[in-house]
Amino acid sequence: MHQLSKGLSSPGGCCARSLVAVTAARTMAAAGSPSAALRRRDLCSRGIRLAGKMRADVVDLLDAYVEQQGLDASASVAAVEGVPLAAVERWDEQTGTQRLLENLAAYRAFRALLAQMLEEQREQLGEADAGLGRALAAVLLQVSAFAYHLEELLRLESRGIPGEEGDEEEDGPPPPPRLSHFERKLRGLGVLRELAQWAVRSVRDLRQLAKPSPATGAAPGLAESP
Amino acid sequence: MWKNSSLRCLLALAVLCLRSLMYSQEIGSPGDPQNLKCVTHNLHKMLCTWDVSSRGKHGQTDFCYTTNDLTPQVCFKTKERRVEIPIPESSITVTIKSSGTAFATREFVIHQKDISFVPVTPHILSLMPDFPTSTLNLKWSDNGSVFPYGLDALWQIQILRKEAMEVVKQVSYYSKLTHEDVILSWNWTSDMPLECTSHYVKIRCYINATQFVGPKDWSDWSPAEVIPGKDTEPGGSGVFPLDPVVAVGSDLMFCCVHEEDQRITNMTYGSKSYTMMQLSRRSHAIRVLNASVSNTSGTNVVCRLENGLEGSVVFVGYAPDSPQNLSCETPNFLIIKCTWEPGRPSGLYGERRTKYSLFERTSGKNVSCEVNEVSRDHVCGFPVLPDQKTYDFILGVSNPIGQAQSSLLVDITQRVHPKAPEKLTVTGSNSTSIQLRWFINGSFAETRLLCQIEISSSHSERKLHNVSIPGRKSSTYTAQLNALHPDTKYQLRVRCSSADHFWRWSDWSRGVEQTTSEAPPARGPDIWRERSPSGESLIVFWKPLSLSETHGKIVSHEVSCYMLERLLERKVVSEPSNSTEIKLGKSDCVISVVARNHAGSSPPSRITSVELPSDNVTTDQAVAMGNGINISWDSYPNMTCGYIVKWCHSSGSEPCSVDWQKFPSNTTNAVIKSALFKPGVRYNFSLYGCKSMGYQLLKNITGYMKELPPKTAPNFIVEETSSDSILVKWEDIPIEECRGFLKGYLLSFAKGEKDALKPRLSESGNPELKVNNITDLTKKSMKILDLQGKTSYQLELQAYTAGGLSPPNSLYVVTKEDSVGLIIAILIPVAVVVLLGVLASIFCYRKREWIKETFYPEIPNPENSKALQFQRNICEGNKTLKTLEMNPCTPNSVEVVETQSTAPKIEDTEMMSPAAETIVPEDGSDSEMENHVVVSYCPPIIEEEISNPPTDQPGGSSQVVYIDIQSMYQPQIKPEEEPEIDLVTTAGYKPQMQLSINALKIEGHSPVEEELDKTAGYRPQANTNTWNMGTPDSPGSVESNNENASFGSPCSINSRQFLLPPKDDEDSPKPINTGWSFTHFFQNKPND
Repeated sequence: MHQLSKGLSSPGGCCARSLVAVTAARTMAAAGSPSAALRRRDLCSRGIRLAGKMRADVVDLLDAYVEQQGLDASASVAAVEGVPLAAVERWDEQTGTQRLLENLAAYRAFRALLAQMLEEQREQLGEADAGLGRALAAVLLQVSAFAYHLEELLRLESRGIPGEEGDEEEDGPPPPPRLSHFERKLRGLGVLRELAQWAVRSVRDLRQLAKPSPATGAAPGLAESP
Repeated sequence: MWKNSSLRCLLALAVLCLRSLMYSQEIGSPGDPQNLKCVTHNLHKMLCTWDVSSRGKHGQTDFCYTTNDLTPQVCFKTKERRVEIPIPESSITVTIKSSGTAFATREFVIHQKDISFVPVTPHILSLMPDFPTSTLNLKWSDNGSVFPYGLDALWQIQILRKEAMEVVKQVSYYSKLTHEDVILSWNWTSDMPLECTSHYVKIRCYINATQFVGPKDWSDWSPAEVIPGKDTEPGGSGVFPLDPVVAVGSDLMFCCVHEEDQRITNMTYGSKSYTMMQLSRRSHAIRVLNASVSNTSGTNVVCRLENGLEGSVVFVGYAPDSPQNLSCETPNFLIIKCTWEPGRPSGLYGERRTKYSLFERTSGKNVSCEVNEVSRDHVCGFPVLPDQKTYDFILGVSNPIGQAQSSLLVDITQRVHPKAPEKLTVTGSNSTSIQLRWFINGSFAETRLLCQIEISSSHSERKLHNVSIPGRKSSTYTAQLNALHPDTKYQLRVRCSSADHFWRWSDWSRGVEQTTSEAPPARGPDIWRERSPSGESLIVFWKPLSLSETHGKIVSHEVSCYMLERLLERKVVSEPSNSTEIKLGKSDCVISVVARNHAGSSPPSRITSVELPSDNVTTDQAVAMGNGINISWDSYPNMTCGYIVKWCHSSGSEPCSVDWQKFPSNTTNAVIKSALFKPGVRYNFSLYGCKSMGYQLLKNITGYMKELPPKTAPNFIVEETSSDSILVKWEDIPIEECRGFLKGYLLSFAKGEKDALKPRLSESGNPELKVNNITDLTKKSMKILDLQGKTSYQLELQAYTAGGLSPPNSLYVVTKEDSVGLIIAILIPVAVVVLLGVLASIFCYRKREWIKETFYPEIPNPENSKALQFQRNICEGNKTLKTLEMNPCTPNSVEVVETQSTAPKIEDTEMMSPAAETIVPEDGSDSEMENHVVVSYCPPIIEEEISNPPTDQPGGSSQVVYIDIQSMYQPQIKPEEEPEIDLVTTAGYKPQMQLSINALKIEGHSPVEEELDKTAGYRPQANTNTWNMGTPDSPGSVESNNENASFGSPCSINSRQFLLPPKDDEDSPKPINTGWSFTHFFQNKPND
């Protein structure tokens, strides 16, 4: 539990409280069994492919977004609130579970932000630029699928799936401050840039996870997790 | 009394004097109240103030006033130096007594004109900013309750901006006072966003009280109300205005508010950077003129700071156009659908898009319309209201920039446009009818429906069938279609409209297909019969029925043979055969043919087998029509039941298929058409007449659908050739290669050698081309006359039809030589010469005495001597006889070459030449002449001759005066036999002109001769190319009249004397001339 908390206290830090609601999804085979190892490897390789595809699509979407919104591609944007940064210190020292939990938290945040972007896009443009809306929806779908994929990996490692923030709070989160159009544009740019970064990091994380543990042949995270 | 009266007068005078003084006029001494001023703010009361000296500043003042002598004086005590008293009607007398001094009383008389009217300073009730529109709203009270009704009030409002409070606007505002306090409001839209910097507002007023006679003045300015800019807020920053929506063409101002310690890098609108204006230490602005329409996501206005980015998004678009072509109709009496064309796109999307609402004035009902901006499908629904037929619609259009509207008054009973019928089904059918049923959703109970059924099939045109049906509420409707064809697949669909007031058809329903059931064939087949070649059997043919006549699939044909109603034979022939053979022997019968399908049999078709004998059957030609064959015949009155034209189609090796066509008895002409007819193919037709007893062959006809040119040319040969004629024979072209009726042959001929590259005669454009048209087709040969002997002729033979000419066949023939002509050509000149000789002899004989007397008398008379006269003329320098000019011809160099071995012939030639003869007497030595060749050189003559060179001869060749020197010398010089000639020539005269290379290569020049040429023997000074056979027109012929002239004799260009005597010409070889013609015979004169 301490490990989980540590993992979630990374820049995003939004999922620390959600660990309370860990569900006991321990339906998969035991983490150390050969079949589980095979399944994890399979899930990791599929996840790597998913992340690679997502990265390519996000890069394309980023180009289209910058052009459509009339932004400067080189504009520096402040970090988006609610998204854990992909770049962390001591990445090498992270356990497999930590990696998965950080990834999951990030992609859940991206899912919410992309859904919000999509909604704003529809509100602002109507049917005027359906192409960008479709691309956004496609990336949102990939992000959701990837988050589900991460949950599968966590289940495989007999870890509980942290609940989402919105599920725990009875009154829900306070409504975000009303942003100006320009701020929304910049926020969208920041979200997509960070998502592109996260896609790269996720590939690396999953490659790390796919490596067989020297001791047990399982993922390193499994051995290190409490 | 007087004293009293005089005292009173004195007092009155004093009072008058006092009154005559202006107000504030001091009456007392210094230190008394003075400078009394009265000002009114409300025209009822006035505020009077005065000054007192320092001694009287602290103490009570008695203030008294009276308006006239009759009213009592009003007095009161005051510690201030201002009192408010009523405004007098004309004047007022004021007495002010200061308590500080013993006698400090002053009296002032104030007239109304001395009172100033200055309205009370206005008070701003509120100043409200509207930041999105950059508008200020100012509210204040006119304070009208204190003024009489109807006064004009003028307000002056001042707008100030920035910290320095620069006046940016001053406006006047007019109002009328209504004796009530009215709150006035005024709006002002700033060209600069209000957030950019602080804005201030001040106001003052002027009341135009016309009845008031005193001076009037503006009130004081009210205290400035401020709308602070964002640059005054701590931490306030951003680009303003924030996300505005503006019209295309607007001039915009954007400002960037930032922290004081931040520096702006630049400000951009879209992708363009603009020059900034500083508004304050924390605010900078740019101005954008004539903004153009922005893209879907708006135009970004970005303010780049040293360490950050601020921005705003501006949406530039158009106000909505008025909707065009607003039209409303109901599909079902439940809802009214209105459509329109929106006009120019606004360029605004999403929440800023153009919104539509439909308002019905009669009912007051309003609905908002969901319109798809991108697909431009502008439809809005409005519910049909009970008991309302007429609707007065107003379509309102609005977006953040503007609004528009359009209206329409419509009676919906006249605007019914039903939806496409649904659930179309076939409820029943037989061979000729189909029942249909369909459903229309809607409340059509109060109207009739007009429905249209489209019927189409593969072998008939599309038909429309209209049905009028009473309308019902959401009900099914039925209709029956009759008079259909059996066994036919029909495609059916329905559409409907209102029958009472046609407006529009609905869309077509989904189509259904239905095939009617089969029925017996409509008629019997068209039949024909033919006797077999042996005559023992009869072949019966029939044509398949058309699809519209079969009424189903034909399965078989039943062929029966009756003789006097007695059935002789019956055969059932299955499809697809269309003929059968009946063994009949020599007898005849009546043939009956019936077509059968699954529904039954057709009526029988009958024909008799009897063929009546015919005589004098001719064969005619039909006329090709291009698309058919026109056959005509005479009318045969006894053919009572018409005519039959029969023909046979042949395709390849298969036996031909019989076809026929029947015509009524009044017909004498028919164009036979068939898809099987091919152009250029001959078809044979037989015309039969129909009598009650049987059929009779009337005539045979051949014809082409279209005549083409013959495929090949007729083969032809030259049968016989003479010197002036050629006999040509040709063969017939096979029928199948004629491809049309042969009309004749074209035989063309012209002179011409055989040459593969030569074009056809007909295309050559040869002017000598002669063409013979042979239209007699029986003729198979032709003799071409009047040709030249020994001449090559090209012959071409082509056949032609109405379709054109065949390709030609060509031959080349050379006519034989004309020996008679040759003989005649020789004999005639000989005879003429002989005759002339005889005549000359006779003449000389008869005139012998005269001749003798004249030419050689016994005692010569020098005066009569022509010869001496001749010589004398020479000595006189007759220039015409240059060869006899001796004087100028003084040799300036004579070279005598001694030859070791002289060629006798050359020697002879030189010795016998006229030049030699003329030189001999001068030298006086005959022996020398035997051993030496003497060549004289006459420069003046050369100059004279060469000075006139021919212009048409290249290479600088001089006139050809050496005639045939080459041909004369060649046979004589035989290097192999007479090598000593080399010595003569090598030591001889050197030419003054190089021979051209071509000259060295003349035909017949042996290598040895070439070597001779190289070794500088004698060379004429002329181009040997120009040497030719002596002809009458050659330069040599000029002197041919001279006795000494000689054709074909070489002569020196220097001496102009012939080197060979004429007599040697006899020994010289004749020129080689391969061709001979009659003209040569006269021209060459070899023996002359």
